[in-house]
Amino acid sequence: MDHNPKEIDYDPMHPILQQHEIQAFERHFNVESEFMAAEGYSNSGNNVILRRISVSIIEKLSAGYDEFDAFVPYLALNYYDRFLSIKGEIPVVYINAPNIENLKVFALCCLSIAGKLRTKSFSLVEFLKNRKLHTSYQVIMSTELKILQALEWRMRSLTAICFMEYFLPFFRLRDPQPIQGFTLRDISKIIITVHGDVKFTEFRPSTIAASALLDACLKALPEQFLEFKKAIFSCRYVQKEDLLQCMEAMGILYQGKKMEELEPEPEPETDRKITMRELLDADMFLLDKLVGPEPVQPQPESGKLDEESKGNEKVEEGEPEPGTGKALRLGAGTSKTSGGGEASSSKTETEEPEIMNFEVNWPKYQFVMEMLEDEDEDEPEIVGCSCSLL
Amino acid sequence: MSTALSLCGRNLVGFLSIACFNLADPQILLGFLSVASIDFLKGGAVLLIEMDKYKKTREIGYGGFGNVYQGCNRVTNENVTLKELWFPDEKEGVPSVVIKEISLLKEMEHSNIVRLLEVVSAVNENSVYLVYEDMECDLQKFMNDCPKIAKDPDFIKRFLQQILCGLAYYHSHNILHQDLKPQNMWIDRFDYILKLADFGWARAFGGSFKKIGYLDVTHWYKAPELLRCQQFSTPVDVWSVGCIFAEMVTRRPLFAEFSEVHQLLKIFSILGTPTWPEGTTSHLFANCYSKDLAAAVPGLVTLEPAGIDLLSKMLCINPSGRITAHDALKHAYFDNIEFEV
Repeated sequence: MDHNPKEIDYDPMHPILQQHEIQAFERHFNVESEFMAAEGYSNSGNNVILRRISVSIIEKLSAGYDEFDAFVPYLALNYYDRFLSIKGEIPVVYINAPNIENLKVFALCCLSIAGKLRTKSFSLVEFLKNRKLHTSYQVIMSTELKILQALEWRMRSLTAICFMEYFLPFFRLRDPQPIQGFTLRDISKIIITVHGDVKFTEFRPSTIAASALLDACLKALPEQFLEFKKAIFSCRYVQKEDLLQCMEAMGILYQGKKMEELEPEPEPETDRKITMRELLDADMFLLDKLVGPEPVQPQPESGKLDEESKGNEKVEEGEPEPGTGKALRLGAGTSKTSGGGEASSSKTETEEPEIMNFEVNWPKYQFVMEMLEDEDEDEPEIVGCSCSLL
Repeated sequence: MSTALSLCGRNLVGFLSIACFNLADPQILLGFLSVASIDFLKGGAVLLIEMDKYKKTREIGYGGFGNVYQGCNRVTNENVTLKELWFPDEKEGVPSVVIKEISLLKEMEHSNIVRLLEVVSAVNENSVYLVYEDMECDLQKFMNDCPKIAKDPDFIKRFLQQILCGLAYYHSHNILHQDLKPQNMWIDRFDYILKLADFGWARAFGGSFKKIGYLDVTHWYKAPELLRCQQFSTPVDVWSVGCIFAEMVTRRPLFAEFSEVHQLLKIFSILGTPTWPEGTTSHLFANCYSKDLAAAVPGLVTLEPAGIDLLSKMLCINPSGRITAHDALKHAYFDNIEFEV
């Protein structure tokens, strides 16, 4: 069927649904925990060590491979965490080989499945050749099937990336000024980077997204941070305690203070629930504002504002990214196409590769396992671990 | 503890040779390895994912992807439909199209879509089986076996509404069916719920489903733009539903020719031949007039006028003028039944 242009691609911003309707987001909040690691997963010493090795393997395997954006290793790690949460142990294909061999194949297959789902034309053979790997195809097939079965083929993970769009409209409601200084790309970068740390598997994807947005906002627009924080905390789906913990884990400090130390916000009178109208407005808003000034011809007004906001605080380089702007525009376009006739043909263009087109930067572990013996505790804390990577 | 150590001793050595450990605390090391040692004890047994759970009772069809069987669950004795899906190139591992499609099917849920119960892999790991609800009674069979009920105008209306509901759900996610036909619609004989089957198969795996003992009728329901290999999209499914609607009313296929060319000619003979500007190829069906359907197809006289109107909107030769599944559900034809989904 070569004349058929349609293929069902996985769009991390809309993992399941095409249009973003408010009901869709509500559903997302209800099912997000199904795509998380199990409770207690991050407390097990085994899991922590194995994950550190796997993070290094996945990062090393995906680094510099042109077809992969940062989302692929991120998704692979999501599969990895969910598999271990369900099964409690890595899949074994080499019965009589060192454990690390099995771990390598497991990590490789998480990555290959993520690559197959995320990219248009992923070829495993090419990939193995490119990475100079000689894993036999039976082993890969077998491991891939085990992963797919264990996750019940639910590979379209709902991740923090999908919630970025949900929280963005809060900007507009509180602040009619254009937003300068950060883009969706910055937020996705924060989300993906923190995921290298096992601690963040404890938080719900929506919590991580909200936290990452606040982080980006604090860096770019510190003077509006408090107001924005208030808006987000008043959202009915946000679990306030969790969000505070997550922000602390991310090391978000406002004027040197932790969030709890800030003056308590008065309880909001009503639950803030974002309406469809606001969400649609937000689309227009994104289109107009968040893309930042045009790189070629910056409008004098926006340039002035930019300078103002850069005034006293250290602002993260609000480098205008033409790619991001385009992606946002396209993304916003989809929401207005109502599932009808020609919508599917535009589907292929609505991908936003640029938003996630950067190198992942996860902590790398050294080659020797280090243990810190803490006198107070019975169990020594393992601070680092190692293996000879590939 | 010593047993465990000796059992995984070989692995221990292997592992140590790669990662150099500080052996100060053997407890830690043991804890670390236990993750794997459990798996080692189970050995190869973990590899096999039971296809044993299901028993194939008979082959009921085939497609470009593999065979289709009727089967049953050995434990619950529940009847199921098993669809085999071969992996064409084992060097690529599980094909990406299989991962994309199945993961999508897993997230979809609608009362008018056949439910995918689970996916099991075959013992040789070169294929998977998709386990669906039992699809024993299809619309074709139902029309043959229970002509009285199937002929009832209210039943036709209810069936059509359910077909459109299922279709609208998928179209809202931009998924095409591309192989709609009475054999692909399953009917529960107890509550007359109709469910669409085989979403994505024709599109993703390049083979439409053929049921053993039936004629190959795939092209009977193909829209003109599909027959002409033009660009196409969701309207192709609406065309097929139109054909099925007419078939439910008249009790015979609307356009049933033996080849695709004859099929197209037949369509034009009934609906009118489109005229198109000379020298252009892109708007082949732009300027077509439509004949009066009720006059062209005598069997349609029993259909109420609103039904004729809906049918002619579904069978609009120009795909961009064809009604969408979503709009069709709002058509006046459905005004006098309760919306039950």
